Amino acid sequence: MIYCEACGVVPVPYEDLPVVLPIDAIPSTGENALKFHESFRHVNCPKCGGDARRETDTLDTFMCSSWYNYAYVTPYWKAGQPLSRADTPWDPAEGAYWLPVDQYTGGPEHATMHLLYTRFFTKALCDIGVVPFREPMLRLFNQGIILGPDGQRMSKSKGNVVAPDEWVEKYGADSVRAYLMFIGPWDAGGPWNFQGIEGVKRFLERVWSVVDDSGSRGQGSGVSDADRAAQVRDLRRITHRTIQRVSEDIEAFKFNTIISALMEFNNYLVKAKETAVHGTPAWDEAIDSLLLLMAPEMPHIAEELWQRRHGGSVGDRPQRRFTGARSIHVHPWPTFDAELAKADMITLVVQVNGKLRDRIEAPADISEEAARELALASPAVQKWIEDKPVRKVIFAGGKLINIVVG
Amino acid sequence: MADKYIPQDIETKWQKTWDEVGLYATKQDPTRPKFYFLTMLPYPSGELHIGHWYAMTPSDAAARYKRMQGYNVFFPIGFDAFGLPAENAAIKRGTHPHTWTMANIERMRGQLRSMGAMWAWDREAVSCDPRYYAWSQWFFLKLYEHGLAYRKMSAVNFCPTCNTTLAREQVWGDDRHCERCGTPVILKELEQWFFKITDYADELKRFDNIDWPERIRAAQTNWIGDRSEGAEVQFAGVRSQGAGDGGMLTPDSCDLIPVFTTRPDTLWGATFMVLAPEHTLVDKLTPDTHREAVAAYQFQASRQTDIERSAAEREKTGIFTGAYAINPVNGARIPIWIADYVLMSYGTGAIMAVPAHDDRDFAFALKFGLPIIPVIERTDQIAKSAVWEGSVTGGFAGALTDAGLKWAWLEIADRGHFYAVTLNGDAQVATYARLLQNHLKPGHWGDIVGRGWQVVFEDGPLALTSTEADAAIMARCHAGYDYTRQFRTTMEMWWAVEWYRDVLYHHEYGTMINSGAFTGTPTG
Repeated sequence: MIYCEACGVVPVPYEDLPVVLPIDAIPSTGENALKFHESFRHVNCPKCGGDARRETDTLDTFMCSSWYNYAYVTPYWKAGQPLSRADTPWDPAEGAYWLPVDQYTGGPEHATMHLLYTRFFTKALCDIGVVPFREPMLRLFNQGIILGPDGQRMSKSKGNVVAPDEWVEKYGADSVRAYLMFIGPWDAGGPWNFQGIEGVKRFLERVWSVVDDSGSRGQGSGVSDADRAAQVRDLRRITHRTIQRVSEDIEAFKFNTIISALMEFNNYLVKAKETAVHGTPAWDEAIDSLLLLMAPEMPHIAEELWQRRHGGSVGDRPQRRFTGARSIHVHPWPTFDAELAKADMITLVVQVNGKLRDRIEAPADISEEAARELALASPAVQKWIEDKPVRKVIFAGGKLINIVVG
Repeated sequence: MADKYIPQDIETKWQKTWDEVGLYATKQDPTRPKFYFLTMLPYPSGELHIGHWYAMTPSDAAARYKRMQGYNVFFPIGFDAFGLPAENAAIKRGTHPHTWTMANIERMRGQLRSMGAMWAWDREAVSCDPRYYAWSQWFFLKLYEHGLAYRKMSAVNFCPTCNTTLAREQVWGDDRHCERCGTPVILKELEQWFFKITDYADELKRFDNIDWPERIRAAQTNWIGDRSEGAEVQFAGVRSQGAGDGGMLTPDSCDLIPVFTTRPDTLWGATFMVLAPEHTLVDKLTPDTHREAVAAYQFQASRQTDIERSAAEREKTGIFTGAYAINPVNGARIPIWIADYVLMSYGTGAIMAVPAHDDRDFAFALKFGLPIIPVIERTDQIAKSAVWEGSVTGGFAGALTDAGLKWAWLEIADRGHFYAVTLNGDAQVATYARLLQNHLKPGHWGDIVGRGWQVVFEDGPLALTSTEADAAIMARCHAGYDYTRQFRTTMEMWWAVEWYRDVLYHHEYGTMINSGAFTGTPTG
């Protein structure tokens, strides 16, 4: 804006943009340095050509952050060219393809400033005819706020800022990433400390050795075909159930349960590797799934192990050059077979005071709590309990539950 | 592959390799659905801290998952580079803010790369680059052209030593001092640029077709609701001694207390004022007689967070300061309370309380027995009355039926049976008031709540129009029965009858009543 004695407030013509901040305006006090910069302040009025002075108030920072989502589609569009009123601020073809934002993530502390102004901005742009939609971001997720180890908000003045660099150097980016995801629900935030990152690093080391195929195969020789088939069935069930859990959790941004599901899966594989399943197609399916499920959260180790298995860059296969198309990160996400993911069913024997009262179909890995609920809900059992208080519940080996009443 | 897992051996290697093969290059691809995944960009303070990793790495994981699902994912990054820290660093170092900022950005690019995230570096944008802010300025001109940017006078935080306006976050401490030099910050009226966000107030409160968290929607709705349109009103605060009861108010004898209201039409119903406990005028206005109790309450309030204090469901607490304010529209002297539900960080730190038309003020007034004067009449024309059967003569029921009024029996625990009458429109209210007056036994009364807000005695009705009328009504009721002595205001007596709840208080627009010259003016 330009203030002219004769013409009043006069907008800077579009062609004269940008009004560049002078590189020699160095603030020495808190006062606006532009106010003392004569060659910046003095300007000729674009209307009458007379003496005028330039606005020294600068744009609020939310002005810039209100449209950065648009800037990204073609940063610095038309740089160096004169701008005009009829311009679009980005390449229209790029804008038409990428906009609007499908998913936005950020802190809830911006609720009534940035997150409100960016919506206002888009609505105004729509009315001005710059964009064809009225909301800039279709979906928003707010992660929690990480506090310093003292439970206070991190700030330089409090000296409680945690810098990740040394931890990345020591444990690797994958461990830091996985640890941050593992410590709790993403929207919870909380005080920060690095206790426990060792455990995540050990998990990755175990993944590394599970995937390592240099050891001998077929430790399962001498196992009957029926046993082997049962082991394979169990491995495939765990594999598909893990794919299901991780797929559902990543859709819901539940990263902490993703990491724990992967840890459980890996623990299972550590044991299974010593059995007859090692070396079977089900084993390969399990290992590939593990790596694919790890790829989003721990991209480096997943890529490394994937390329070792499939890239042929080591071992006896001929060297093949890595290309983007071979990256694990463009590999299709694994799908699960819901039938396979289902737990095996067993017959749960239900006793009341030691006497058999019912048999119920239940998943083989049913928890005590779930078994108790299921048993108490059975009408055949209810008949024997009536309103007598339950004194004790004995849950034996996932096959029998005995309810003691009276 | 008998080697061990050594992340340092593989991580930078893959980051470089992914870059070299252009794994995260941005390309339009009409064969795949696009997915624009955006995470908030950092301010280039110089150091990426763990909070950035906490926000960004799960975002990266979710974006990568989308890619593996077959989407063409766009996951860009940049720097929001203008701001105070750059200015402060420049003052400290004697260099241009740009130098400091660009050095920080260079360092942070390296830190961002160490995450191994799928950043679209080919689309990086830095907001302090003239090629970027050229367009920020372009947008400003566009908004100005369309009447969405304008100048007006407004009070801003100002540091007299630094001779500059300060942002909210540059004002520190309860004593409101300047972050840089410690000088007490003053409020100064300056001409400022504003965006007309209010033009979109209604639309911004709707979240059609977008999936945003409830708390953000609530925060934005509240923010707009409170600021969209309204007026700042000055009340004069006086100590109980001295001016106030008709005495002359001079700038020396009073302090102006600004309040912001979205409902200036309810000003006549402001029957008390509430300041945040840390409001700067509290100490000045509180007379010695109340000082100790006020200080104790202030201490207690200071130990709680703003979030705790503003929770709607919380039991209201507060204390009378001993001081009064003059309601500028009718000169009424109203008590000044302090209560922790009023926050210094919100609005002006003071509110005018209109208990008849605001639920928090209503709860506060009932708890502390403060007057509640309705000043906006309901638009639905409904009024109600509950009259104890013992207070009217025989034949009342027949008279109601003959007059065509709708009534039913209402039983209230420990109080017996009541005629519960529902009235529709002013004509019915008038008919009913006349009929009731004719049937009342000496010393008894009946209420009409909803339109007119009156108490009918044998010798005529008294309307609830002012705090004086409230006191007069209560004096007559107290003289009637012992049990009414527990009630401190007329409204409290009515509130005891649950049956009135739906017509008793409301925050809708309607017609102004009890508002002097403005009575009868429609609002909204």
